[in-house]
Amino acid sequence: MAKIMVRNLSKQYKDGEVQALRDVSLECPDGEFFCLLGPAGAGKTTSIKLIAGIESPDGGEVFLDDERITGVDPWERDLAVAFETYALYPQRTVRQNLRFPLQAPARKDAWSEADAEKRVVEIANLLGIGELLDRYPRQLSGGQRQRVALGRALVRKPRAYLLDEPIAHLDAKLRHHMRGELKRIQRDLGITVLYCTPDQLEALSLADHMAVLNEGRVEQIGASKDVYMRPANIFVARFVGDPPMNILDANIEGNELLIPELTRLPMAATVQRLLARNSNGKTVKLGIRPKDLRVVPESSGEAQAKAEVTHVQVLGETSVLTLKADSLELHAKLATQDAPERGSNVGVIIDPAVCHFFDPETERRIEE
Amino acid sequence: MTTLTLKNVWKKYGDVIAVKELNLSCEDGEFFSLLGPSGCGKSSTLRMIAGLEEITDGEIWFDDTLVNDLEPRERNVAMVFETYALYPFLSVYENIAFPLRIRGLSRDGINKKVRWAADFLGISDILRMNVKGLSSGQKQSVGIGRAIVREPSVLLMDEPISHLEARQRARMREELVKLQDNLGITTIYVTHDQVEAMTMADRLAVMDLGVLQQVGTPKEVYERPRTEFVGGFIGEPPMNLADCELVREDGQFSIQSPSFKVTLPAQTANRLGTYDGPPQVRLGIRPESIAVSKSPVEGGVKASVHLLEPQGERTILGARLAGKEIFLVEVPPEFEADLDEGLYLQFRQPIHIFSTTDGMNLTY
Repeated sequence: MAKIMVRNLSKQYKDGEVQALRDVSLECPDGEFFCLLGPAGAGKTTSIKLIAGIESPDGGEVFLDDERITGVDPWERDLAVAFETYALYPQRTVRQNLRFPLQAPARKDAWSEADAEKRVVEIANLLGIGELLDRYPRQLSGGQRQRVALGRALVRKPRAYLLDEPIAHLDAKLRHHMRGELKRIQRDLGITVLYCTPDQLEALSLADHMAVLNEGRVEQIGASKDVYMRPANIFVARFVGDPPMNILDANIEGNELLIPELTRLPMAATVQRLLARNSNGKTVKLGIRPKDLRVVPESSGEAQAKAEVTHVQVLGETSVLTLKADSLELHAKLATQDAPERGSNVGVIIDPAVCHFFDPETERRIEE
Repeated sequence: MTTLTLKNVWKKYGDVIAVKELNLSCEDGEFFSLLGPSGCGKSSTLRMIAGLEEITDGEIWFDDTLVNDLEPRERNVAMVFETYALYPFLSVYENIAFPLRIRGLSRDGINKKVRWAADFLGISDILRMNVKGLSSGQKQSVGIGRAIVREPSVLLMDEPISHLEARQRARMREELVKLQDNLGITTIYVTHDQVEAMTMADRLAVMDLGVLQQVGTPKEVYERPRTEFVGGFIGEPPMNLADCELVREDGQFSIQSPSFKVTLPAQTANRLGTYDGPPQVRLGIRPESIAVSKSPVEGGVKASVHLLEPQGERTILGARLAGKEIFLVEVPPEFEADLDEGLYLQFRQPIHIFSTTDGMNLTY
């Protein structure tokens, strides 16, 4: 297995009308599960294409371990790729589709007939498509086709795997199962996986490290937990975590934070010090995750502000409340058994100690 | 303002039964969801309500009118589809006005209604735009505008947002609920996505293979699934299900398998009452109802760490039991463990026991 490294990659499409990647640098260590997370148009698929050599960058370099592979032909890079669109051979059976990568001229000698067959069956069983080996793609459901496409990437033993939304078309239950299997396979075999997804939950669950991309730029690179616990800016703060973090404008007034239309919050000394040293001293964007926003009875003496419950979404054991306080809208997440009814009035508590702070100009995280 | 009632409704395509003896009632102004996997009969049901599909047997009532033999346009229903089915070369205004034009409304009348709908949906500023250039969210709004402009008595939605990206879908879910709430039109919403049904509907009907499994509020179907299907279909991560044997000893019930032997708490045992069916049953337990300990505990089930999935505010642990099955367990984000490390699981209430013969929840 190998380490993947890209340095200052950029890529334009349509004569510069679309800037797909802007100066992207990242490193996926050997044997790691690394996710590229971002919304549609963030540059995830473009990154994969440039690393795989399917397209050439306008600027920047790609390395595999310490070998520069920027100009190297795709088939000589020894990477396996699976895209969201299945691209299976319709006139070949599942078995033939899975065997195909093992029969490419460059690799023919590496796989004997018996070894190749054994490997195909092994991978098919791993993905739960062992029964389907003699069927044709048209006889399969979308989810089954996607697993064949994934199998075709996994069947080889390349230096690294590039997977672009490989399980997007599976239903929720199967996706959950496949996610678990993928991670387990990756751990057990110690393979290097670079994995694209627009689903923050998927990235958090799978990745050792991740890069959050937006409009062709890297917004943050870090360990999964760090990205969630210490988002680098407002984009990441709202993209990672569900429902998105509440972001409120606040004025710094001495040892208090004034949130217009909501409340005044006393700040602990640590928070005061943090803002005094690192902010402009006047205004700040305050972020609080819905699970950290406390909801109490309206009559509670602790309540800092009052709000109306305008919407209740039951997710199962937890529920998401939409709260309205004047013109502000907030989300809170709490246990379903504690959830008040729609239309009721409640009190809310914001503890600055669990809040995130961002610069109102740059939207970057404020921290020591 | 309409109450919708289905009485013993069947739909057959030749020998294939798509909907079997369906009884449902949606209250006036209710947001009601039909939920189930593909092929469960939810879309057939919707199409029968719309009048796009003949009813094989049974009755459909709008208030006290039997609509079985009424043409779709006589039923005054409006539909919103996943594919917006907009006219690509017409403006937003003309798309919304279309259903009124074919009804021969006056120019002023049309103008007034289109403006009302656009205002209601917050799309007044794009009325002159061509629909081709719109975002998917805007197209959705235009589709809804066209549906509500003629003030239907029932609004039918068939997977209207399932093609959107996760984030956008979450936003649209909330938008649609607000909208329906303000409109107050009885709404039937078909989806295969349990999150959508759970978060949006006042009540939902869960269907499988043409058979109604359960009707209830989101909270009811989550907390008290009537069948194994409902238990497994609703909830993310899904409920853990495992074969086991129900054993009665000294007046106490326990469940046993190669993986576990657990004495059932009194409340669960009471629900089983005088059960005398076959001892082979299915255990159903949700990931949040399992406690984890690294040291041995009384009545603990031995397991090992198969997988850890941190999800930010919680972590999902995949625990491998002695019989090789993987149970998903919700643990706090601080939880750390090595792969294959030994653990002990404790099953907490609610523990569901499902029949292996008909899938019914014996502890319902």
